Amino acid sequence: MLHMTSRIGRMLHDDHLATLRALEDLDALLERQGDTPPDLTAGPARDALAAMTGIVRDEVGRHFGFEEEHLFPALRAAGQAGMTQLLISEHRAILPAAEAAGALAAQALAAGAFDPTAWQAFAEHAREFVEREMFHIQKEEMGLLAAIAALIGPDDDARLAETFKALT
Amino acid sequence: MFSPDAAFGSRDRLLPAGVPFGFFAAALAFHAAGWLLLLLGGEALLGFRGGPGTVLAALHLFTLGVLATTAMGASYQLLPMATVRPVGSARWAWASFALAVPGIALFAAGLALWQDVPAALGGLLAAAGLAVFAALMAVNLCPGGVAAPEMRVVRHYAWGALASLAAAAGLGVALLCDLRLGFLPDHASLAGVHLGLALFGFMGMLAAGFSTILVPMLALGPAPSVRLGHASAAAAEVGLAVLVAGAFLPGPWPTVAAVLCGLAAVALHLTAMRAVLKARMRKRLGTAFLLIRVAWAVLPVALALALLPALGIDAFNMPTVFVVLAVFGWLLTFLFGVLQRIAPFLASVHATVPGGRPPLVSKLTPERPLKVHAALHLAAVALLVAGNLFNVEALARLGALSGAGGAVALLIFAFAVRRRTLAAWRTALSNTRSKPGDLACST
Repeated sequence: MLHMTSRIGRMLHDDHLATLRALEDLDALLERQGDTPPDLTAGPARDALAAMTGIVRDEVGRHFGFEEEHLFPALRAAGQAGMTQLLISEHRAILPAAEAAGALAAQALAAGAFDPTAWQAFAEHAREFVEREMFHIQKEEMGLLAAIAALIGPDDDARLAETFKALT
Repeated sequence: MFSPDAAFGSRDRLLPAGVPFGFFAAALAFHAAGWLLLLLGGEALLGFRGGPGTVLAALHLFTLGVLATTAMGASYQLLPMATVRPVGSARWAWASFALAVPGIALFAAGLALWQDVPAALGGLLAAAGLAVFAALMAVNLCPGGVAAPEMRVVRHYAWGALASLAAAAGLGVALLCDLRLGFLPDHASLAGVHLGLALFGFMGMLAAGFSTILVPMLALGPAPSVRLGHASAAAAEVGLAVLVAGAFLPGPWPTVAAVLCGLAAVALHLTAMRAVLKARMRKRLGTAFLLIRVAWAVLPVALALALLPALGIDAFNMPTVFVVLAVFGWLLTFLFGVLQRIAPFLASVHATVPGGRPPLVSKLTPERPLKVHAALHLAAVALLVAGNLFNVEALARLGALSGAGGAVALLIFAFAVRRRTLAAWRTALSNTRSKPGDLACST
């Protein structure tokens, strides 16, 4: 992951790392379980789902909202309208899958188990969330952070970093 | 042709989809043609030592046709994303395609049939296409874009690659003329320098430079060490300079020194890549990284084998084994590993329309042809090496057959990606047209 010369770039990168850790655990759980609902009374399955619901609740919406409301306008002004529109399209596709998976996981965590039908529905949304979000992070790590490093000046960098910090 | 430029009404950093995918399509066609020429060409596949004919033509289909055209398509798309500077002109990018692709086809046909006029004309057209590509990349690499330390490493490698390309192309034209006019003092020695510059200079340095961007991106790993990157690029540049000087000096020691510098460069590069993969966030990397890892394992072996002919050890068809390992075992294996990841990635980007859901990459990527290709390609390399080592023509021919099968599997993969991408794009377009309110998806 490149272009760590700006403060806001480093903060977004750290957010990506936290999200990726949760996604990797979720991906491993989906791969391990297949069609069989996991045991949610304890252990790695419960931890993975709890981490995923936390990411969906606290991180994804905040991260996307910051980018769309504060960062992308600055990049659009610097001539990067196509890239920001593409990333916004991806946000619009990621959020429904993330929220559906998060809601089903939260219900199962509260109930202590998935029934087979709910697990199937969860797995479908979760797989889509994992793939879309990983693809999106790959793109942001290569393209967005490069654009920030090249196009966001020191004053805007400091302002954006403070705004993002205030949202945390 | 669909593209985010058209779809989003913006000139950002992506070229129209036809530019990179045109080069990739040409590469896949040349790949299949190369294997078929080896299989059906009628010349022995053992102990090849150069000279016009079907084997030399096939070798240039793989190097110029597959490696160089893929490098051009990928560079036009990826370098501007990393430098945050658009390619100067899509028209010039198309011009490089229009010159290089027919030129390579004509050049290979001329070599295969040893018709020197088509070979010379094709070679000049291909060289002109590569010159346009080199000029566009040189402008894109000029200082003024991103100044991040990692990008300086990419630039370092890319400048080395472009210098090697200029030298290899110039030498290639001279070698071609020499086949008719016979003016060069030592054709075989200069052919070796041409091969070294093309494989390890142009393609090798480009592959190493892009690896510093692509491997962290695809594996979601940390940036590779900047210090190791500069040291590796510098060692490679010294090695290539010594290789060129060695053509004009007596004795094997300049070539030995060049190979040792190359091995040092490889060790530094692979150390950096190993650290990236060790700290990666993406654990499951799939068939693509199996190929990439095999390519990395083959690279130092291929380079070390270059020492043997230089030291006068000529048993077991070693010069041919060296070429097989360098071209098929290392470069093509690496290239197809990367290409099977970035082609669906780029297809998904290009198929996204404003307000529409981007297609899932997994839905665009048929996995089975990729697995079939990987198995057949690796079998082809093993059979070509074994055939040459044990001097069994039938084994080498079986390798060519396996390679041709792998080429067909890749074509099936490419057609499936194209069909699925166009279907996804049309669906997204019709969905957004039926929901015009969604088009206002901006902040």
